[in-house]
Amino acid sequence: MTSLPMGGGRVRRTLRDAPRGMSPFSAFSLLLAAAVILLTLVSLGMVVLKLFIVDGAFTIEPIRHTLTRPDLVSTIGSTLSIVIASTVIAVAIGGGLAWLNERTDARMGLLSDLLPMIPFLVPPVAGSMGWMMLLAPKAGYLNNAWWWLLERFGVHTRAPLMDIYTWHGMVFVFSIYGVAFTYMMIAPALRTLDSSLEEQSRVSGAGGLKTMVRVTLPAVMPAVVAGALLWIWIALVTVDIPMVIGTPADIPMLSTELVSALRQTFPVDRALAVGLSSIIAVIVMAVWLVHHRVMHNQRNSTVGSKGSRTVPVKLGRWRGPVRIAMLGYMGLTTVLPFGALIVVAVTGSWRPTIHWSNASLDRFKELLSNPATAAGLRNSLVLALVAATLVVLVTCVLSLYVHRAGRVTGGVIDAGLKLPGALGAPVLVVGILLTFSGAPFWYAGTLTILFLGYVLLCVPNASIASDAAVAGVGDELMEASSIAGAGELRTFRRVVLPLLVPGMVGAWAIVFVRVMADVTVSSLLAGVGNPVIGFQLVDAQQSGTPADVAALAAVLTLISAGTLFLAVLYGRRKSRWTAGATRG
Amino acid sequence: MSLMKSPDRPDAAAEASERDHAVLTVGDVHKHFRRANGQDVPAVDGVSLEVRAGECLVLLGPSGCGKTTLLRSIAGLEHPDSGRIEVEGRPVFCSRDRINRSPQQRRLSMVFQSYALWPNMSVFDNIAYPLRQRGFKRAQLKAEVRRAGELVGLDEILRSYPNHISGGQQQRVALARALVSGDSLVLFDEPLSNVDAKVRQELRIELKGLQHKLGFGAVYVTHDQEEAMELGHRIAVLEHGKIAQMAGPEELYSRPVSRYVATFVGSTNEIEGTVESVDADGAVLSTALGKVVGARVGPDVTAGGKAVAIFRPEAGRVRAERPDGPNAWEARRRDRLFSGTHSEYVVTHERVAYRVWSDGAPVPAEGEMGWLTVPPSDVHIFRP
Repeated sequence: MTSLPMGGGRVRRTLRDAPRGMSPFSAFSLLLAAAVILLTLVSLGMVVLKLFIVDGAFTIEPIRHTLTRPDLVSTIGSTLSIVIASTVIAVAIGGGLAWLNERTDARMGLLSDLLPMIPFLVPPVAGSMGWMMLLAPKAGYLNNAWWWLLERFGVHTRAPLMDIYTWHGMVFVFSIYGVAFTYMMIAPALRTLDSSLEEQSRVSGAGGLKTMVRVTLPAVMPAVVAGALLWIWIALVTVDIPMVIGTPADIPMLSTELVSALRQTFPVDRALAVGLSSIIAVIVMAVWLVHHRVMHNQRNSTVGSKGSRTVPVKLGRWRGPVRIAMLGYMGLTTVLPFGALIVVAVTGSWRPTIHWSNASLDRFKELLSNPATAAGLRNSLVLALVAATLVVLVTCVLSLYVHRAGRVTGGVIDAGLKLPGALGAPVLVVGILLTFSGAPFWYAGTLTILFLGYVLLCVPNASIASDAAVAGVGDELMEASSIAGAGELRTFRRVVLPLLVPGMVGAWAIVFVRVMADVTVSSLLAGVGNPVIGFQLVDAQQSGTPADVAALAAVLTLISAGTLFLAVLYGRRKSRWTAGATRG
Repeated sequence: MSLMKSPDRPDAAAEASERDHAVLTVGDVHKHFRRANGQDVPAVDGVSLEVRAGECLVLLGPSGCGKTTLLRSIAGLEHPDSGRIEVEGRPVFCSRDRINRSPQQRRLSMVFQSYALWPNMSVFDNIAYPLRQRGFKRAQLKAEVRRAGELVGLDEILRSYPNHISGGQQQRVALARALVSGDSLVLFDEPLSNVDAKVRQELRIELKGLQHKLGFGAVYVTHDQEEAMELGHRIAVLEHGKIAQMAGPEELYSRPVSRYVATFVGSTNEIEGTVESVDADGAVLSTALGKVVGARVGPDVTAGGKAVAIFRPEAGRVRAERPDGPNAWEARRRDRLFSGTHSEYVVTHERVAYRVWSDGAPVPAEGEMGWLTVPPSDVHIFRP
């Protein structure tokens, strides 16, 4: 060593011979994982306990009580029929949009990519209210427009275009929100499908339609099934649409029956709540297992390869109409319901004829000056900010730990983080309610119990996002940092976290919006003293004026859409240096 | 303690003594992996070696031979089952004394196959990173990074981000980052496998120059035998986690100890057969070509047993007339392959092809029968 006068002696002086046990970072990760998993297991255990033990004695009374309810079969029947019908429609629309967007020349750049995500901009609770104002049988704006149009042609009728308070109406709104999920699963499969597979079929003499049925569809079938199952799994536990539309329509669903067992019966029917949430958990778990199976098989059979080409199908003279239809879909699913909310809020009333002379922003001013709604907004904002930030940070730390831990430890923690998703939120929320509302916690109606519910609601999805983000960072980037002398915390802060930000901004925004517009958790856990916006909306629908409801829903939509928009912008800016590749 | 802190070279004697000390000692390191089916696979199976200051030791072998596992064990990125690893005389791993230092405690540098440049940091920040961990002050840090950048020809692009520079430049950044802290041991994990052939040639020459200038000890993993020959002062050929042979490039090439080493380093012709006789002068094989006489006999070659005769293309010839002496076999001349520096002929016998170099002497016309020949002194006989 001529010019590098670093000898062994110096090293010996500066470094202590510390044995390598568990690092503080690993210990911290394990502690976090234990906390999240414990919360899940305790909540689940509490439900199971209450299912079999009442007043300290073993019993199957809650199960008997639930199963012998006269309307149970019809509730399960209407739940399944609505979920399945909406899935069929969502797969057809989502698959069609995905095909047009990924395989034809009808795509319109960035606009096309955003198109299927548009329904997320209007949260389901607000969207349902918008659709109610558009398609109510007498006062719905669209129905009135329909009658007006028919009268131009001399047809006099009072039969609505669609009555939102029916089975069809429920299926319609469910389908619109389902499209985003089916599209999300089908589009990537179509994107990577090698065009030469289809070209080979055409060269072999098959026509366009035959090629689609014989080659394209079978190739993307696993993705189609995965998309369908994903939506079934989500739709089964959805509370917001059934609460807003199903309640006035008198269409019972499992999720709303659960809410009413805990909220609208007196005394509270805990046995029924425990029984219903267990039934939901069993169905959701079965769907989740099948979905997991399909996804696993799909990963093993790659369609095409990375370098495969996709040549867009030329639509010819259909291109224009198809593009108009795609734009029309976007308008239909977002602008219409949001527009209806704005019209009702601004004119101060919901009447078949719009009185623009009454237009003012007074409703919004009143809303924000009302102490109760202001408190609800503030609570929701704070909870959404805290929950989104904490959940995303925690899942990042844990995904990194799982990524580096051994197969057994990593597998157990990973399964624990995904478990709330597999069980579905209702059973865990009921469990949290049973565990924390009484002694020794007395958290009933507090923001703390809401926060716990939101954490379990959002951890599984955020953890899927952070798994993907961590996998994209590349082990050698972390190894290079520790070789360069950085400890685990420093490596996490300087190398891992900055690289996770672009991937996690989206997850943060989705958790934020989900908590902000949540009805599932808040309808069961929110208290009168600590209102949150989602719960207030459902409450206002029953006791307030349509204008109050519309104004609140519009504000909620603006906050959600604004957050998502900013997140997309921030993510794009932050990922400028990763434009090439995240791997070194 | 950092890069070129003392530009004045000490006198030759001091240099010699400095260069003589071991920067890395690996003693009987074992590491096995368990497959999903529960089967144990030894990745590193009792390897011992030493690297002296200023020396480049190349670990050469096909994928799966354990070379990368060994390198990662030295770096502290893998935890060996047993053995002892010392860096600069200081134990960083010892199974008996239960020592296992983390990578950040080992004070060595590494260049990764993927370069592992942090895309969120500029070239400057990437190179400065190891110095920041060692608490360098701002001004000193700046100067050191600049010096390292100049050393590898990067001074123009210190403000750029890694994804906006070429593959060759990325490689130089990784190199600068490994050299900037002035560690006496630098590990290289197939660093040149991702750049194109021309850049690879350039970087090899630069790397040799840098090592000569800075005097660090290097462990260099590659599966490219040409790269190993050019860069290595010594080469360790690994086979199933064991060192098959460790020697300088010339010795490895001209005196391989086994068929595995001979065929892995350079190209070879092989003739399988049965041993007729073995004595101090060599061995005689009975093969499909005829009798093959080889003067260099490997261990465990016994009369009556199976063996393989190996010679390099540059030792063999094809002739129109039968040459004198042993090892002349009738064979058909096929194509002539011109590679720029020399020409080779393909010669076949019973559908087996052999390659020999041209030396300008008359050869049979293409497709005609002729004679394949090689001096016994260039023929190795090994157990198959």
